[in-house]
Amino acid sequence: MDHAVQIRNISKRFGDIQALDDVTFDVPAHSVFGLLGPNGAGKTTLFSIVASFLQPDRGSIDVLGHDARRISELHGRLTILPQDAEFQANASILEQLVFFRRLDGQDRATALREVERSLELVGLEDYAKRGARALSHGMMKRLGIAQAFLGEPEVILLDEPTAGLDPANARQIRDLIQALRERTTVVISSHNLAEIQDLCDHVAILAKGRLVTCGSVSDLTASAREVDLRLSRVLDDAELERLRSAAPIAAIITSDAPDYAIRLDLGDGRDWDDTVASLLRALLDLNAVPRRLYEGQSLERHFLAVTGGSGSADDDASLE
Amino acid sequence: MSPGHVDLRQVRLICAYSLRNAIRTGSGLVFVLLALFFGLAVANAVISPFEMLVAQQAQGGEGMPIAVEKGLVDRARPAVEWAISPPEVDDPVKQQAADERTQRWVDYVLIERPALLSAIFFVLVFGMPFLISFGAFNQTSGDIGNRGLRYLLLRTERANIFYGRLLATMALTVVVQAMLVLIIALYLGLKVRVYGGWEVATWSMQGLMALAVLSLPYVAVCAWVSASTDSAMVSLVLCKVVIGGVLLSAFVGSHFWKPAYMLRYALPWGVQNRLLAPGISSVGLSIGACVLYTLVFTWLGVRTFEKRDL
Repeated sequence: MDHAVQIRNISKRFGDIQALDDVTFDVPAHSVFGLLGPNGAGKTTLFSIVASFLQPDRGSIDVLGHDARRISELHGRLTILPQDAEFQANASILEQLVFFRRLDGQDRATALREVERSLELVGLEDYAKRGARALSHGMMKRLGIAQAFLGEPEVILLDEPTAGLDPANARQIRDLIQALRERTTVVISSHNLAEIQDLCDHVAILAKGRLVTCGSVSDLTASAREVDLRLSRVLDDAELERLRSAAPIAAIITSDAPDYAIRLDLGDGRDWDDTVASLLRALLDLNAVPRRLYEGQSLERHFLAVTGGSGSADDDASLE
Repeated sequence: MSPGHVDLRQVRLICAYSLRNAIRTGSGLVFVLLALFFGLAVANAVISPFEMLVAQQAQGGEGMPIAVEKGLVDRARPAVEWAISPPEVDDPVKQQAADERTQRWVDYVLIERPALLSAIFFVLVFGMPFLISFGAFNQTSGDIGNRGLRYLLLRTERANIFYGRLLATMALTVVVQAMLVLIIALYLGLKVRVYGGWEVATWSMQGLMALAVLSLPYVAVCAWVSASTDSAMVSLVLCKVVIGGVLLSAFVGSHFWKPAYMLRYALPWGVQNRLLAPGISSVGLSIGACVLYTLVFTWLGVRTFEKRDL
């Protein structure tokens, strides 16, 4: 199967608000797919329709060859970390997760084994016998993730999986997602664009309920002329001038300093790697250490450009 | 949402899980305590005066418990007649037939059956619908509100969740009623000892059957209300308003416009007393009516639950 999820012409209205408007795209099988958009863009609504929590006004969704309206027939092949869904406060975590797996069709012993393994993955094994009310917000999020990782799901929908987690736990969750990449399709909704760019190979960007762009991360951020980098400090005007004279640079976007988008001058058949190397040397000579570097456009700048924010490298007014 | 097929294994799992956790939730515990408190208070209100009279007359060296019981029955007769008599009709022939049926019924419950137990059952049959909503209002509404159902929706059809929780609520209600009837029957049979053990046992069984059967449609109507709202508190208020409002509307409305009396048939109020009537056909018809109400409310509930956003 080429596509794990196929979304066709989905529209959903809540009263006067058009939450989704004719959204169509596919999620490739075995991809880590990012669903991006500003607040209120319709990401959670789309997740909820894929998981059949909400009924679309129009359109259809197919998950692993099943109509989303009969999603429960997948019996654990699709799982989700829903946003703001609460666990039962007075039943033990172990009991709840075992119950979920038994609904998926597992016998009690297998379910118990899988739940223990899943809780161990997210570091909650010591809380197995306790109720959900004993957990902090971050632990609750990890419990939701443990629930989504139960069994051998083929598609996992994660709505803001690292929101509210401390850096160590967020890193742990990202590592878990990376480890799933081989055998599972993961769809992530997140506001953390750097995280999405690191994790995902495909993205779709929603704005005001409409799909504004969809494709592989490499295609969307590709630019033959640009690097996007974060420096250890802000460069002053004199240093920028020295940088321009020391490396073949056509333009520098300085609006988000110390994040800089630099359009390189590749005229006269200059080699890309040599040009980037000369740029980095020039920066080091200025005592400005690159902390992060993307070849091409950063996803963040692409996101801002397509959702109506600033960041377009083609907008000459923002270039110096 | 296409209509889901029912998976009995999943319904059983959900039912067992809900039943296991029913007492842990505040509303389940409140229902158990209220039902037992109400039932035992009713039993106390009926049995205590009898015991006091027996004790007083025993001190004076007069009267036997059975004679005291007969005296109480005579005094209770008008109240029981009022409770079970149908509305008056203009046709004198029909009215006379209705009066005769009422008299047979009163004799059956006060003379042929243990009268103290009958009195308790009539009050319980009237009060139980109000109590049931305390145990049944939150079958789905709370979990719709806090979105806890979302962990289940990928794993089972909505209909299975609805049926599983409905069955668990019905089972809890019947278990609590059985405990209540058992306590009352044991007290009457072992302590009061005015009736034979067999008499108390058989009438207790029929009383429990009446309470259990009348619970089904009220639990189902609460399930429907609960599936319609995403707030447990709103669900509780709506359940109370629906169950009490139907009876009140019929009672008040009939004073202004006689046919408004029929409003009580919107819920089993019009048939539930007949679960304690003489004759298998009358009881059978009442059971059939309650089952029919249950099926209709369950269908409406499932339909609402399957079509709504969760």
